[in-house]
Amino acid sequence: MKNLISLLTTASILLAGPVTANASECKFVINEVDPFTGKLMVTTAWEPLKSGMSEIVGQAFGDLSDISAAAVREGEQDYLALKLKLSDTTGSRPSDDDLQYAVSVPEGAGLWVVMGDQTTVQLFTDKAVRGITKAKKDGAILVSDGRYLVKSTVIIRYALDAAAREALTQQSATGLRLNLRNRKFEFGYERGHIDFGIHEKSVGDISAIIGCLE
Amino acid sequence: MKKTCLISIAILLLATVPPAQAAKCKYEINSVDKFTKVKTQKTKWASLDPWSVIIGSDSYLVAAISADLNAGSKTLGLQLIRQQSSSYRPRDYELRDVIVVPEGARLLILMADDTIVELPALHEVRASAGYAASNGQQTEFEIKTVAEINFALDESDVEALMKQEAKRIRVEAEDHNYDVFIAEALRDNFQWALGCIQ
Repeated sequence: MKNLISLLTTASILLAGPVTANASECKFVINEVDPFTGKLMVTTAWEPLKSGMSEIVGQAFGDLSDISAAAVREGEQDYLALKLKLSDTTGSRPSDDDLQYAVSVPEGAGLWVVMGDQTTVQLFTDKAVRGITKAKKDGAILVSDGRYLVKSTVIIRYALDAAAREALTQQSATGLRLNLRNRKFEFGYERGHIDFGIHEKSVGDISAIIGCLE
Repeated sequence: MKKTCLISIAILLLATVPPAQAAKCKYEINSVDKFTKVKTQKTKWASLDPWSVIIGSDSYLVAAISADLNAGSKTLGLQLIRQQSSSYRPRDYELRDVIVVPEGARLLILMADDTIVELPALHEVRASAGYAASNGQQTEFEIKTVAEINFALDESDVEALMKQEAKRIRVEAEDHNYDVFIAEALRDNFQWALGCIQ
């Protein structure tokens, strides 16, 4: 954990002040009372998080090419959703199983959010998810060594209770650690995690989108 | 010129008169068993919307309903057609069980006055997809899944659905709620279909 904090501290600028979302900047994909359940349903637009520095522990995960965040409210329950795009290459044609189980996140998997004052907020998934993985032989780049490019997208939703929501809106998040499970081609399953340092330009984005739920 | 005018007026009339009055009942099946005298009717599929986007995915949805009568008992059929395109040939696991509706899963119908009619699925449905190349180079593929689900109807449901128009439906499938906003001009299709099975 100390390593994580030091990595993220070097990668990010620490901002300790509270962050408030400007309502006019909030963009919503859904913002309505569900006529069937009577619950307020809110989903903000995906906010791409710029990377300060990222380190993937567990060689199975390849590279993290993109990470975005959104806030979700379903009635009384709030969530922080993260969308990850991962890419990897493999020397042999990946099997259906390789692709089907390439990236998965078990129910209860944790996310640690490192805040500006170096405290952490821990969140958990409320259900297991599996990434959508596509493979293609990329003629332009990879034909020379015959490797297959494999791209995965996974959307993970972490439950937010009142304390977590308050902690995340009181100050800016500077880093994330996501626990995942991966199927390494040829080598079976592997657990690992991704440490993601949030770039100074994106520090405050998570607080801001969660603020959009208010 | 006259002919064009007449055709235009005819099209206009067809488009504006409610289908329950304008369209005659059309059936896939309309028969009486010679031995048992049991009547069987199934209306043709009546569209609910031309294209709905499934939120959070790159898929489109087309929905249609039919009303069925079999030995005096009425059911409502719902056809969901999910379509998506792919830049690579889809793998087997991507085609399996695309739409799964468990037995007892609910179809929720939001009526014009915001009341909800709730119908349970009679049987589990697991619909898998098929695909076809959409260009000669086999670099674009269309993936299509068709699910046909039957829902139980009692007399009070029929009465509620016949009383007014429906504006939106939701199918509570295994992993996803399929929401369909019913197009304005098609909102009386429940009344049309149910009116055709007597």
